[in-house]
Amino acid sequence: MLFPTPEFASFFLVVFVTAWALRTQLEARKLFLLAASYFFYGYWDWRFMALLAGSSLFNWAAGLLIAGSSNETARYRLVALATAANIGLLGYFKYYNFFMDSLTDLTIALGIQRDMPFLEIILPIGISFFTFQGISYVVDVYRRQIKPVASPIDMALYISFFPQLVAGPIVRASHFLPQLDKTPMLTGTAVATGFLLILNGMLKKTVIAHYLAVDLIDPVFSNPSQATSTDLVAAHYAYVVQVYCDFSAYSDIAIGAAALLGYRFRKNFDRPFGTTSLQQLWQRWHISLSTWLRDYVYRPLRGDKRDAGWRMYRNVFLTMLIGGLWHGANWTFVIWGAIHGSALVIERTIKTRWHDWQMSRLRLAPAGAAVTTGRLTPTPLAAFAPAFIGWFITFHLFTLAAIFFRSPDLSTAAEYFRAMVTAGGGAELTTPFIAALTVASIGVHFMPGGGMERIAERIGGWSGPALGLLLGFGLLGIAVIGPEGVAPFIYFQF
Amino acid sequence: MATNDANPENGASTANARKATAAMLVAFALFAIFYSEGATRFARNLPGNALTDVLVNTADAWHGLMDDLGPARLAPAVRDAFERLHGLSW
Repeated sequence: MLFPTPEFASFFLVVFVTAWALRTQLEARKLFLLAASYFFYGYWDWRFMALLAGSSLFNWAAGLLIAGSSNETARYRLVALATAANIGLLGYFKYYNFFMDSLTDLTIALGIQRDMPFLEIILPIGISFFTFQGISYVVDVYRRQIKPVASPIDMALYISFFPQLVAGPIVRASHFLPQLDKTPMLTGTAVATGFLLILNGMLKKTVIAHYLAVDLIDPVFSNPSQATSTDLVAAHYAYVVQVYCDFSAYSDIAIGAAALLGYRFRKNFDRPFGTTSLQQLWQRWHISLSTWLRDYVYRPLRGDKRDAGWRMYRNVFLTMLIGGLWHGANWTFVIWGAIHGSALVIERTIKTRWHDWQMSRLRLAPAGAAVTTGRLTPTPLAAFAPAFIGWFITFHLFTLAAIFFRSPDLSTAAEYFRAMVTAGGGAELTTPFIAALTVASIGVHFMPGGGMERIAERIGGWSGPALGLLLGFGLLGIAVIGPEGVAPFIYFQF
Repeated sequence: MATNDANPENGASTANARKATAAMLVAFALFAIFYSEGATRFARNLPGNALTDVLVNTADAWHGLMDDLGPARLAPAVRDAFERLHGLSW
């Protein structure tokens, strides 16, 4: 059941009305939301409902066992076992054939080719997301950051809650579970925020992401050697806009739907294209994954010590490499992760050297120089120039690396880069509409944040029919100019 | 765990839930009036059975009525204007 469909709209109306009718009966509400979430998941493929239930129960039991043990070695073994089981599940469904494929290539290269046991494996939708939630839960219990949840219903609902089940955001147990034990509240601002997020998500997914993909990106990436340089350059910019609009749309609708049901999810994207460093970009792009990787990959790699130097750089690189591989079983994702890892390492090195150099200048500055905040006060141009250079490099590194992310294999990516430089030719597929859509979608990232929150506060006091006119005409406009069918969200494949 | 509905926050939540329900129903009504072609398309995509036949006939009749009365002509007009913008060339 895709979000931008009449099926989901009808489903959500029934869930909304029933959930609020059960507002004061918390246990009944949880059971109802759990049943609704399994219905939502089973609508795609009912066979994987047992997998979802099994994963939830396993992590629930693991949490209880870890918390119940006072022996630190036993606790460590239990969390390691639970994490390994979660990764094993993800590995089997997502990476088994990739591993076999790579092993076949290796045996051919070594001249010892063998027939590998390839399997017909269907990837269960949302497995990357609910597995990561399971891991974060058992690790948080192990770290004593949260108490284990006593009720399997609460655990199952945390893992399967339908707004975030299929493509995130990756919700933390410490943030979501306490909300289940409180009587849900719904303010006028929350209603308006929910509707605005849903409208914004629908616009980004069904209009912006759709037209960029259909008119330019899909034809160019399907055969880069036939495209002109102008279209190839435009398509690589448009692609990051498409991914942003597609994925942030899912997050917006998920956060909006959860808000309407009385639950708060954290922001998952915060104008990432306006950032002036890669580190900053990763703090504002797919925030729930970035923070997950920080807390459950980078920090365990770092250990108790706050390392500097090569160990820190190695850990940053490995974290991004794993982040790349999480996106899919393909060498293109590994390369994409390696590019980001290497770039973050280089960026940190330059920043450290730059900081050291500035400090040495500060020490050499004559007494009475314009030192007010611990730095030499820069002129406006001197302040703008590094920010612009930082943005330019960050943005282009992101868009160029995205060519690997979008290409089905390394040879297509290589062909894309080659043709971008050598093909020549003007805009054949890049129409004024597509160019304007791309530029405008990037431009909004430079506007001040919090605009939607301010509008929601302003219209939160409107009557139901007035909000209905806004929601109805907004969705109507999107449906009329959008396509007849809706393509699945890009992140469903991850 | 039951809570006291006399609490003003609880009363406000219930009122806001009603408000949101009304808003969603108004949005559905607007779709039915101004986008009746969507209803016919939705009905035709359902798995074929006796109930679907009834739904398809009802949706077709509704769309015919909205077309005669005028609201259903708004969507094609907006789409034509959008297509002109979409089809612009350098």
